[in-house]
Amino acid sequence: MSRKKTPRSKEASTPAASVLPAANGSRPVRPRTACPRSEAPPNGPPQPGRPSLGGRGDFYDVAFKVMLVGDSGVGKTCLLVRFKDGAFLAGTFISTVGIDFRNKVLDVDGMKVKLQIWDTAGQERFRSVTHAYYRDAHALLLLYDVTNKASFDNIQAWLTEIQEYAQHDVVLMLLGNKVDSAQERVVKREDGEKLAKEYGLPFMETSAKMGLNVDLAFTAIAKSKMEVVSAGGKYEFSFLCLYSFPRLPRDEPVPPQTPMV
Amino acid sequence: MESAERGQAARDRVPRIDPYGFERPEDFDYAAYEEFFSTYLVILTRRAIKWSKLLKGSNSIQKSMTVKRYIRKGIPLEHRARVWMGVSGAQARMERNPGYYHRLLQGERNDSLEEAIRTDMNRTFPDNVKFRKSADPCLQKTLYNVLLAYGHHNRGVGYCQGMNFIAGYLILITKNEEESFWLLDALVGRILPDYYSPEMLGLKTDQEVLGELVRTKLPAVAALMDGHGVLWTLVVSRWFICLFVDILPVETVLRIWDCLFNEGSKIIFRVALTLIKQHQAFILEATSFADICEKFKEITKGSFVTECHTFMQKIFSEPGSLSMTTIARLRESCRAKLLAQG
Repeated sequence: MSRKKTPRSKEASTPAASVLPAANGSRPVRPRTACPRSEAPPNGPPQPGRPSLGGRGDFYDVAFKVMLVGDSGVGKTCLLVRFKDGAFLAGTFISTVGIDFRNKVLDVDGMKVKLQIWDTAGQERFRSVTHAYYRDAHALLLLYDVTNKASFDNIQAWLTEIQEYAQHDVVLMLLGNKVDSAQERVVKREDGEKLAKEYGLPFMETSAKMGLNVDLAFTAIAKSKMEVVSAGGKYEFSFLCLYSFPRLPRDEPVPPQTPMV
Repeated sequence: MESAERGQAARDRVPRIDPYGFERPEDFDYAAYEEFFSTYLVILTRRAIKWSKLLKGSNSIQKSMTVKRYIRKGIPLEHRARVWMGVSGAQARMERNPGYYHRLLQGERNDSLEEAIRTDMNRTFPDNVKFRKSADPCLQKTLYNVLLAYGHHNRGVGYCQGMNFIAGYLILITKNEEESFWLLDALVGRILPDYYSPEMLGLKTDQEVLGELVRTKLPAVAALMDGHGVLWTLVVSRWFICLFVDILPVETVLRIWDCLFNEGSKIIFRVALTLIKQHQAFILEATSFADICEKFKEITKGSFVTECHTFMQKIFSEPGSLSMTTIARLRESCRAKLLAQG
């Protein structure tokens, strides 16, 4: 009777029998020091992890929290499942209620980067439930649907929301999803580019259905949040924000990028 | 017989689609289900006979101690809609307001409401054959109408995601659009305190109330949650918003709803506390934030929740006493705290 909506991740596919705890505590509890923290502390920088001793395949060097935001129905869950499982949830997915997350470990320039990706309900009233999580996010993927003008028009409202609740150095990227639906497209690529430029955001068009640019988008935010300096076999981390928090358009002219000589 | 053979044999006997139209998932344990169901069938039969006698010669059902006891043991599917309608007061409202539902459907259009509902049509029970676009009759239209009518009826709430799943279940059980509307009204308008309005204050309050109840009854779990900074909203918001739809097995959800319609929203706390208490040792093994979240998903699966009859007995014994006075007091203090936080 229990039903399954989405392809379950390997981590989640614990057999039902293991739901019941063994009386003798058969799950060894590893000391905290030998196990990477599964998440960065709130408000803190991403944490360098230590190689995990097995566990549930969560071997990684560094962990980031990424949040998917945007109107209801723009394809946040599908984008996540495409990235996580390489599958498209054609007609088998349900509306996301509340908030949930999944992990995926990426290889970025030889580093294992664990992304903890938070999927949120898009409906406006859920924002009061989800914005508590904004402040812990290292990166945000803000989505609209190229076949839905309203979802594009709402991007500004989302940016205001993000500005209010997210960390000031959060990495942000704008994604125009569902480009496979060429017939129904109502938001031109140039419109997306223009808006992104206006707010100083990186931008991509994606298709969760076709898998277009999905891995690229996640990899890009992972990379832009991490600059790896390898010195003497020792990893050090610094945080290079390629794109700082978007400033709302101002009246005064923007200073030139390069100093005048 | 080998277990693989037994599994295959059970797979041949148990239909791929359950009585409500849901396709069984690929990893469905047919052998375990068949074993459970053979026992449950005896209970169902006994309850069906008892209920037939109880309802004999009466058109309406009134709340009473006997009815409460009967409901806790499960309402037979053939009487479920009628009993829900009776004990929730939905029947009385429907009779007092003839034609109201249809007038709502013909009311002034509201584009944003319609769009919000439409967005969720294909995302409500895609694994149920009756909700597929290709189904005849397709319940999507029925669902759309019920939600639209409700949005017009209760403008303060309009449409909130989660209501699609609730209305969907009501339609599957009543097989009647208007009755589904009045039952949704009973739940959203009276039984549940303000879960779905734009501020979702009732929802946030009840999540905190659960946190307080856990703090009193299962302090080790509360300490674990605090220690890792896991907010209750993260692990239980779907339990409250969806009233366990798509979280627990269908039959178990329906048994919970039997009591919810009759006894009110405190049943939700009983279910939540039972799930947590039963798996306390398992939850306490968690060593990280992510672990805790994962464990709260795991505890809604497996034989403990599938065996609905035993599960329903446990919800009335495991959490211990849970008076409405306690709940009301906690709701008041949690609500005040939330309002003070802004």
